[in-house]
Amino acid sequence: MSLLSLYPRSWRERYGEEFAELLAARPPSLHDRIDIVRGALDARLHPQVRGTEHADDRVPDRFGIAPLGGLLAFAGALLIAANGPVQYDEYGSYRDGGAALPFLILAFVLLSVGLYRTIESLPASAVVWRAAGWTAIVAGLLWSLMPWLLPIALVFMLGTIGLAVGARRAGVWPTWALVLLVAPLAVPAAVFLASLVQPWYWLRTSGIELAVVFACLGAPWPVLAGVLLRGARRPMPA
Amino acid sequence: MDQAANELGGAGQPLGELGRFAEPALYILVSLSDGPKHGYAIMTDVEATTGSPMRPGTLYGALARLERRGLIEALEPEDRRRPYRLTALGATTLQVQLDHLRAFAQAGLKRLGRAPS
Repeated sequence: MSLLSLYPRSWRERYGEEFAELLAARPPSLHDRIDIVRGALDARLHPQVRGTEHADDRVPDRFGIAPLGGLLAFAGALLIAANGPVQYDEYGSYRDGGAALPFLILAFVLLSVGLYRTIESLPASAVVWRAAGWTAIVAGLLWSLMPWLLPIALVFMLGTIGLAVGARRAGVWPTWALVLLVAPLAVPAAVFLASLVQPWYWLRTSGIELAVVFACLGAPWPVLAGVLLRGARRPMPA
Repeated sequence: MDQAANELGGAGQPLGELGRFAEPALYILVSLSDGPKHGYAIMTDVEATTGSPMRPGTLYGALARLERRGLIEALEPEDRRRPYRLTALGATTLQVQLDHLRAFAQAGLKRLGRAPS
């Protein structure tokens, strides 16, 4: 990620070109880079550029309600699954979460609306990022039908992260949304990948993996709802 | 020098409201006092004058504040570089700051028994 992209859009529009020229003339040292990050934080906390942070630059998307409703369905699915009837088999006991399945499907259908709206907000040239979004939709819907197949959840996570990165790169999403999405999703992804190899294979059978995955997987719903209802920006020109 | 410059940027001083950018802002005003300069030229000039590096994030944080307050103004870009120049308000503000610095320095030297004759 370019250091310049850390600055707010309005700041980049005003100072971006000359700032980039300055950095080209004198490649930044480590101290310079730290100073630039600090400067970007300052520019966000204490904006000095007036008149370029257009209030009408963002148009709230009422379809943001969909992922918000999906979040409720997702929470309901978790609640129902956690309180399902106890079943016994030759391996021991488990809770039957079958009743939660319709809620899980509903949650992903509603999330797909938000994902689709985000895909549509990207420029047509963002082919890779749009494909990541479609991958997230397909994998998410598939996984809601077969939640015991965790690799599909991993594909969903990676697709969602890809879409979010594309939205950030296009200037449609703010940085905070990307961070809020990636940080929680990175946890179950890391746990799952770790469980594939020794000596962390025990995660596969401990139940921790499932608990972490479900606990962290809720991030896309509120983030998508927040971005859409707040109003995504128009894509920045290349 | 840092302490003196911080004193300049203290409460009640024209640049005092700029907080941590008060000192770099003063350096920038001094740099522009002999003519317009673009960002890179300001940076190298300040480094040559003060002996301390002025880093890009700090430079543009201070430039944005000075421009917003009308102490400097941007000129038409030359290639991709945009020169800045001191405004009349900026020149007056710099004069006040430097007068205050001189008074502060004289007071300090007097206490040391080294007041200039």
